[in-house]
Order: sequence, then C-alpha cells, then structure tokens
Amino acid sequence: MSKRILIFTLALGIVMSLVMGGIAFADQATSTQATPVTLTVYFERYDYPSKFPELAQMTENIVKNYEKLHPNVQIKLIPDTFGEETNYETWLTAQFAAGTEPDISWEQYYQRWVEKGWWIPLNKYLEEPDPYAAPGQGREHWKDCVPNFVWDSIIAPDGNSYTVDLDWVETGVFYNKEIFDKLGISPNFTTWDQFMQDLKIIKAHGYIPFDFGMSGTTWTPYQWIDDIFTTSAFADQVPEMYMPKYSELYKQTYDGEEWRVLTPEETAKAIYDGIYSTNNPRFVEFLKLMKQFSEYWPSGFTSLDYDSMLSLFLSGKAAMVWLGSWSMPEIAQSAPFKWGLTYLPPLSTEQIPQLPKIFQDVSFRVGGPNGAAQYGITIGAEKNHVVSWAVDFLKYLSTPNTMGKVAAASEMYIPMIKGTEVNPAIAFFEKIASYPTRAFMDPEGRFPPAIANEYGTIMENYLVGSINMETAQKQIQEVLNEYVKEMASEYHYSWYK
Amino acid sequence: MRKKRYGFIFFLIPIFLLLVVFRYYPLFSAVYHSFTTWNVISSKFVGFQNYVLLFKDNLFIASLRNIFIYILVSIIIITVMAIIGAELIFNLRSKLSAFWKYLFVVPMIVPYTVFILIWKFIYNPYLGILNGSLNLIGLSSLTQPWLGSPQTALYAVAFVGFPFFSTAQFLVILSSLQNLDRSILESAKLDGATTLKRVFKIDLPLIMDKIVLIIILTIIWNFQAFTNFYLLTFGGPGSSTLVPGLYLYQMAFENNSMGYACAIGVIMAIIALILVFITQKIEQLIIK
Amino acid sequence: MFKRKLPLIIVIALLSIFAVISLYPIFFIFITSFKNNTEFYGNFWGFPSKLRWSNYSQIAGNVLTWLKNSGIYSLLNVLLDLTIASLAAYAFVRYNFKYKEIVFYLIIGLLMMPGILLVVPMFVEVTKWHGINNIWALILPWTASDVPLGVIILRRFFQSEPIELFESAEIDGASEFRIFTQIAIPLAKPALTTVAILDILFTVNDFVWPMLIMTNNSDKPLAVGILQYTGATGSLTWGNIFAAYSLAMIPMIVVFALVARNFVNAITEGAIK
Repeated sequence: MSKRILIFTLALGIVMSLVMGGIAFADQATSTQATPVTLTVYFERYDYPSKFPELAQMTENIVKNYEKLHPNVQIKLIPDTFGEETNYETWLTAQFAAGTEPDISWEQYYQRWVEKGWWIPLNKYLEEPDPYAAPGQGREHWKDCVPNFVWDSIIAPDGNSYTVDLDWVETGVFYNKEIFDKLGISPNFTTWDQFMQDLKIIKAHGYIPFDFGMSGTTWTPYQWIDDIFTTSAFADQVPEMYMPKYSELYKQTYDGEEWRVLTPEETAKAIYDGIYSTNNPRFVEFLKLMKQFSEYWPSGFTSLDYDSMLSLFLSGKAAMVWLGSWSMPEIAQSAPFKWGLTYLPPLSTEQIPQLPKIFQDVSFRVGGPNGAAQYGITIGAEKNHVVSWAVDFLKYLSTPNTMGKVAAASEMYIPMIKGTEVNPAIAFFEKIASYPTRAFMDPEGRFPPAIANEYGTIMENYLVGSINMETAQKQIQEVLNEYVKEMASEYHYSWYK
Repeated sequence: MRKKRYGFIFFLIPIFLLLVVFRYYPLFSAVYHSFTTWNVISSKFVGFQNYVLLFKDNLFIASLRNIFIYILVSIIIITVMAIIGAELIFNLRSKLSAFWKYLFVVPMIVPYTVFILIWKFIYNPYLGILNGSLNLIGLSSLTQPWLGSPQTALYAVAFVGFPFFSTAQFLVILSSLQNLDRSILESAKLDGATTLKRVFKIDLPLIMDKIVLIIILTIIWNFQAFTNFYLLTFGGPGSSTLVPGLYLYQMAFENNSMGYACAIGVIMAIIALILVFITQKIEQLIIK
Repeated sequence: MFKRKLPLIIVIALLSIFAVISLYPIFFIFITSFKNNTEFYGNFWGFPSKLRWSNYSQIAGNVLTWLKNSGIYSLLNVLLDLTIASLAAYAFVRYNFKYKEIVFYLIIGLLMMPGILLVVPMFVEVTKWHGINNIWALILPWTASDVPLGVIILRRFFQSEPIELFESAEIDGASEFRIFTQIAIPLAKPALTTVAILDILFTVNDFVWPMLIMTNNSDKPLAVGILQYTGATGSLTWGNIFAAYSLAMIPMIVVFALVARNFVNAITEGAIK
C-alpha cells in the first residue's frame, strides 16, 4: 500500500516538475520576447547630422522602422561628432577601458590587428539565415548579402570575420581638364611608358604631375601605389601563395584563373617561404618602380596630408590627384576648373618582364573595405546579453532597402549589398570596381600597425634618398621577418616550424 | 617661528586633495600598467619587459635624439625672443606698454590647431609664403620643402610660432620686469647708464630666477610636444621628426599597446625630471 | 621713464613688424570665414570674393551655446586654480618643513607626465563614479592639470616679493592667512593674471577630455563642438569652421582687453608704491 503511494507521489512529482519546468521555460521564452532591450549603435558617417543631414535622416528612419517591428527594442544612436577618425579612436579606447563601449560600432577592418578581444567573431552568425533579405541575397545565409571577395578582404589573421562590411570605397585619378587640354595630353593612358612620358611633359611645364601626399595617420594614397606595384611585380607568383583552406572559402577568379586578395596568414607564409622577399628580383622591380614614379610627386610629399593634397590640386598647381570616391563631392563642389576622372594605366613587360598576360591590359583596382558601413559587435554587447538582437539588427541593415539605399545616396561610397540600385553619380567608380583586385592589401591592412609604421618609415627614407636601395632591402626584410615571427607565435600557424 | 610650524598643512590640503584624486590615482594606474601588456580590456603582468623593449627600440631612441635637438633650439629661440620682446615693451611709457602687451597677448587666443594649420601652409613648398617670399626676393635657390626634407623638418617645426612674443614665457618675463623695484632702475638712469647697459647689468641678473623658470617651462612643455608634430609632419620624413610624445600617442591609440605607451610616459617623465633637476642645479651654481 | 628719441623709432618699428606677424592668424581667421571651399583651396592667402554671412548664420546657434559653455567652464576652472595654487605656493615660500623640496617636486613632477596618458585611467575612474556629463567631472581634472604650473610660477613670484612686508605684518600680529590674502595676493596680481591667461588658453583648447565627458551637444565647450565641423566634406565648409572660430575669438578679445586694463592698474599701483 505505502509502496504504491510512494510510486504515485514520485510520478506526480516528476510530472509536476516537468510541467512547471515547461511553463517556466515557456515563460522564459515569451518573457525574452518582451524583455526590453537597448542597443547603442554608432553608425559613423551615416549618422553625422551636422555634416550629412539627409543621410542621418535616412538612417534614423531605418532605426525607427526596426523599432516598430520590434517594440521591445530601443536603439540609442551615438551621432558622429568626432571630425577626425583619430578622435573617434581615442574615444573608443576610453570607452572600452571603462566598459561603456557601444554594442554595435563602426571600425576600420584593419583595426582587427590590435583590437583583439574587443569584437565578437561573426562567423557562425554569417551562416545563419537573414529573415529580412531576399532569396539569393542573404535569405539562406546572411553572408550572401555581399559578394565573396568582401569577406575575403576583411578576414582577420586568426581567420575570423569581425565586421559586416556593407559598402566600399573605390579610387580614381582626378585630373585637371584645362591643364590636360593645354598640354595636349589625353586622360586615357594606354601604357605605363606613355603615362611616364605624359608626366614628364607636365613637369616640364611647371606643374606637379602627380599630386600625392604621405603624411597623416595610417591611410594615404601611398598605400594604393604600394598595392599596385607590389601586386604587379609578384602577380605571376601570387597563385603559389594561395592556401587551399582560404581558396575553398572565398573562391574568386579573374579571367578563369583564381585571383583574390591574400589573407594575412597567406602573406606571412609567402614571406616564410621566401617568395615575398626582398631578395626576390621582383622586389627590386617594385622598389625601382617606386623610385621612378616618385620623381613626379610633389616636392616634400612626406609632409603633405589630405588637405594639402587637395589645395595643390584645387589651386591648379597639380595636374592630377589620386583620391577616393569619398572625395568626389568635395572636388565637385570646390573645383574652379573643369575636371575629370581617369585611372592609372596597367604596367607592362617593359617594367615587369614576368607580368602575366591577363594583367597586361587592365589595371588593378585598389578600392576596398574602408567605407562607412563597417559594423562590428563589441564584447559590451555580450556583457549586456544583447548579442542576438545586435545580430538581428545587423541582418536588418544588410538589405538593399536599408543600408544599401543609404550608401547609394551618399555618393561617396559604393554599396556592396546585392540588389542595391546603382547611383549614376558614381558610375565611374563602379566601372573601376570591375577591374581585377590587388592581391596585396594596403600596408596598413597587410601588416599590424607597428610593422606597417616601420615599413612606411623605411619606404619614406628610401624615397627621399636618405637610404639607398640595398639598405632599404635589408631593413624591409628585417621587418618582414619580424612580421612572420609575430604572426606565427600569436596565431600558431601550422606551417611554421 | 614655533607657532607656524604646522600652518603649512592648511595651505596644502586643497591641492593635495585635488591631486590625489585626479592626478596621482591615474598616474599610479599608468605606472602600474607600464609593467603590463594592456589591451585596454585585459592586462597581463610582464615586469620590466616594456622597458627592456624600449631600451632596444630604435624608433624610441631616434625620437629622444630628435626631442633633445628640438628642446635645445626651442630654449634658445624662445628665451632670447621673450627677453627681447619683454624689454622692448618694458622700456616704453606705461600706457604704451600696456597697449603693446595687449597686442601680443591677443594672438594667444587663436586656437592651436588653426595656428598650426596656418604655419603648415606657410611652409607649403608650392603655396606657402615662405618659399613665395624667397622667390620674390630672388633667393629661389633657397626654397625647399621645409617640412618634407629630413635636414630641415625638425628645425622648421621648432621655428613655428616666430617671433614667440605671444607665449607664456614672454608674459612671465614681462610681468617680472614690471615687478622690479623702480627705484633701482631710476638710480641706474641717474648714474648715466644707457638702456642696454642697464638691461644686461641690472635687469637680467634681477630676473634671472624667472629666466630659469621659463627655461624649465620650455623644457617641460616642449619635451612633451605632440600636437604640432602630429599636424605638421606626423613624424616624417622617415623618422626625422618623430618625438616621444607622438610615439606615445601612436602606441596608445593606433597600436593599442597601452602598456608600452605607459612605459614611454614613465621614461619621459623621468627624463624631464632629470633635466629640470639639472637646470636648477646649474642655476644654484651660477648664483654662487 | 626711459625715453630716447632715436631708439624709440626703432623699437616701435621692430614691435610693429613682430605684431603684424603675431596678429596675422587672427586676421586670417576673419577673412577665411567668408570664403567658400573653392577659395579656401585655391586662394589660401588672398581675400574672399564676397562676404558670405551665411557661413556664420549656419553655425551661430550651436557656436554660441558652446561659447557660453566654454566661458562657464573656464571661469570656474580659473577661480579654483588660482585659489588652490596660490595657497600652495604661499606655503612653500613662508614655511620651512621637512622634505619641503621633495613635496614640491611631487607636485611639479606631475607636469612631466604626458597628459594624454592619464586620460584613459582618469576616464575609467570618473565613469565608475558616474561622472559622465557632470560639470565637476569635467572641470576638476582640468584644475588638477593646471595647479602644478600655477604653483611653480606663483612660488617664484611670491619669493620675489619683499620679505620685510611679510615679517612686519607678522610682528604686528597678523595670521599667515591674513598676510596671504592682504599682502601676498595683491602684490602678485601680474603673476595671477598670467596664470589665469594660461589656464583659460589651456581649457579652451583642450578637446580630448570634454569629448569624453560631455556627450550632449548643448553641454559641449567650443573646442569639442567645433570638431564635428572639421573636414570640409558635406554640407559645411572651411568657411563655416573659421566663422565659428571668429565668433569664438570676439569674447576672448574683449575679456583680454579688460584684463589688459588690469595690467595698467597693477603697474601704476606698483609705481605709487
């Protein structure tokens, strides 16, 4: 008799706890839905009310629509009032130190080198479906919202993706039509030799042939020149540098052959294998090209920053200036002369004997993931338990009608979201975007900041003549070796012995 | 004598309260972190590793060499100009004196970044008025990229702010001259001394302690120089204008090596202290 | 006074040349404020083609708020700094105590540490105490940065004041505090004004700390607010930035004129003595 009561009580107890647990679980599920959530978000230029009020308005509308869809979510915007990027970096550093960082924030992809532990890897989320996207544009897998090569360009040395990159910058050479017409020069440069001849003519007439500056934080157009020359010089050996694990992830081709940006690990391995080395005669070609080109740069280029570059061009002293798509509104607004857009001509076997045929009649594009829509999720979001909402919000932003539209309207950046309507104002840059990609990233993205700095310093010294080529080779090789050692010890690459 | 032995505490309490909370606490934090690798969100204790690395860091050593040259040049120019300017104004009638003093104080309100921007364009090889003037007076051969040439860049930065009348150092010297006892100066005039003689024999010795003060201030301020280098040359060309303050900033906010940056700061503070100490010792020797 | 006819002309000539060079930036700010971007880049040194008052009206609202903030913050900072620094400087001059020089070095040693390095730990500290957007969280660190300089300057000025004045007052039975307020301070007016000017200049130019502490546009001082206008892309131009600086300079010029009048008084006072 007591045994039966015992069993009955036990069974009842089990059933009841299951039911209670089930109710509690259901409660939790529904209460998670209803729990108020706050996301702090920094959009950078797309929420810069004092300078770009229309873009800020569009962004704010997007945010409001999202809040309507999810009434329990409140999004706090941090408007961009920093002016310079460096002020933002200072501010962001202080926020992380005090634990008050935003949940979602903008950050240049190359900061991944140093801001370790600040950002959450997004790899597994990128495989998830994006309920807000159209089929083929992210519905099945969020990462399909932008082309493959975007992810390839921003992969961190540890193999993770830390940002969602929804827009790009492309570059172009702005030229002064009046100077070109006066000197009878055509902006459609055919070969590199022709280009050099034209530069000579321009210089002889007292103009700065190629406006260019190297001063300022991190980015300068020097990075692009370095990309193009390094890529051209090593183009025939780049396919050897590819590692299967990345090729499988980010398969891209140009003219039927595999061709994509080298990841940090691949760059390190290329140095380790002695291919990307200053002893390789290709490196000498690279240095020679740089030196030759530098003769047509303005005097004192190491101290010219972005504003100085613009003044030299807009005051009519320089015939050409190589800038990015984001400069177009400024030049369009301020130039007192007729101007146009062109691009550097491809190199040829004259300069690079081993240049593969497919690259002999098209230049490399150097535009990349430096736009305003680079968003990452911080560890602050993890501490606030809002990561799933942050992911959801970013998915919402990854559609043609949300950030796609904003990027297209900016006329400074190229929207990368598939299906976004192209803005005819940036048609030129869209064309350049179809050229083959450089294989080597900007030095600031190729190397961590300290190494990029050292590399840049050596190149400056070489280009102003403080050191000769042999010394430059020696010093750069030291820097490259340092890079491999650092990378391998930190990320434990399997191929490093 | 006995009754005021402890009164000083009353005078020093406010300052120490303020400094402990807002200076010493973050200072200790910075010093502590100089013994760590600090990524802002996490730190790992590494002992003297940062300092050892600094000792071998070629860029840091180059920055020290640069800053010493820069300080030396600055001390000479600024001190000399401050004395010249102060004496020029001091020797005028008091109403005129006040007018000129005001005229030179007003430029101090120009925001520093604008001030630097203007000088950057003065030095611009193509658009600047320095090269422009040289061309105008027929000295085209002297034109150069002042900020872009390794030989001239450092000195060009040191020269920014000429004639250096709108400086704190100038104000200090002028104020100290105006504080001098008139009777001594009058009697010198009665004795038939020329102004120049009076300046060297009487003024300078009397205000020597203030001259040392402005030298010390110049050392302290210019040793930490950062904004002007950041805006004018960013350490280039190469590393010819890299200075410790700029290097620290790069390490802290571009490299995220906050621990290393703290070590740089500590070393900078120690060197500055040594320099000031030496200056004061020299002062005491001269007084004897 | 020392008046010689010939040298006077030379003196005035020299001073005039240097004054023109020194004042040029102010002139530059005013004329650039009327330019548009084309003229800024293309005609950096020349005059604007017309007076674009729109450069001013576009930003006046914000700038005046920021100016008002800067004024309040600077004033509070200066008052605090002069009080605290002069009290401390006086102690070093009138008292002898063990380890006096070491204590002094502890204070001025703070000047040696690069300020930017202390920003991050201070920010962490202040955030812990919920100091964001708090006016004292903004001002007190500034004061803390300024007092060592004030102490080093004021100590030397107090030291050069005639000690007999102090001692005779002491014999007359005055407390140290009274000697401080009624003798030392009035005599140090030129030094105090110097320190005040330096303080104001420092707080008005510093943007890093207020950028971290003040997050609302209406609380920002000028140096921070104007950051968002820099870089000429977008709806604002370099002309706007310089218009903002022009507006900012006008009250400063006025304040310094008042201060200059104080200088004259201090000089005449000294002459009478």
